[in-house]
Amino acid sequence: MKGAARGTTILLGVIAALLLLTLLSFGASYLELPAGLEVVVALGIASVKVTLVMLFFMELRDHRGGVRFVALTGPLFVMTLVLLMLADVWTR
Amino acid sequence: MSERASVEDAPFEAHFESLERQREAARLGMWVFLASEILLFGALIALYATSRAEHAAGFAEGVRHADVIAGSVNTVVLLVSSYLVARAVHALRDDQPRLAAGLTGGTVLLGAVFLAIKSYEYVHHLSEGAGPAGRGALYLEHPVPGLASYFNLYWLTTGLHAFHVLVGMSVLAVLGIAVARRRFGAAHAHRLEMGALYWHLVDVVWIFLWPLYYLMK
Repeated sequence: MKGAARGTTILLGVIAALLLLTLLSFGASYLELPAGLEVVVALGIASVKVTLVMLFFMELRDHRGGVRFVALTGPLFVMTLVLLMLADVWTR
Repeated sequence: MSERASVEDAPFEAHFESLERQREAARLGMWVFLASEILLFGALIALYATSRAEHAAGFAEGVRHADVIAGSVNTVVLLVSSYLVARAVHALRDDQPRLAAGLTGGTVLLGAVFLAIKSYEYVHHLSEGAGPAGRGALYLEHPVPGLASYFNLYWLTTGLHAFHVLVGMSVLAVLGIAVARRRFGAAHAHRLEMGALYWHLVDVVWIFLWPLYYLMK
């Protein structure tokens, strides 16, 4: 039961962090940052939030091997796709 | 089939060596499916990135027409719903089916809140003339190159996401009712875990859609 209570506390900590990061992202959008920096901040915070969700809510931190490998392929391939397509636009 | 057996004695499919192996196979299979879903939304995000790179002003104008409050409230709604379903899985593993069913029901309810807010946004966009497929008065009033592309991608991506919310709600409703009726319990908590994983994916996708369509001016 001790482990269960700890698990519940961790989940509470994660949702608190996620809500705080959401507030941070919302606030940053009103700062009138330069366009490039705004994208980096907004997507950087989003990436941290997604990492938290995947590690704790989706329990990737408890799994090894195949599951982690498969879980990483999706985001990795998407990043590759986005970068290659942007490289095409930027070098026209 | 009512499940009263202890975790160790719980039945499993004949083609698995053990219940643990069955859980691992289900988990791996689900992650393969989720990876394919990530690629589906990833393609739309890649399209967004290239369109925005070509028409930055049009996309900035589009973001100005987005309801940032509604989108932000929906972000909080989905994050909290993800937390609830993660707690539900923990509760079921701890042999607390009533709590697990309640938390799953709460998740479904928040899914409905999300869709209600999204519907309100869609109605607002249609009334201001920002319809899909470049149809609407807004594009004539603001002839900025890329504005129609922003809204086309907005309707397509958020619409596909809303469909996923609906599917996730249905899956979790079925699982929640099964848990409430004691159709499965702690030993087979991985069944609820699979539904929860799908729901978290819905959350993960929205975490990226929110800055792309509501915040980045």
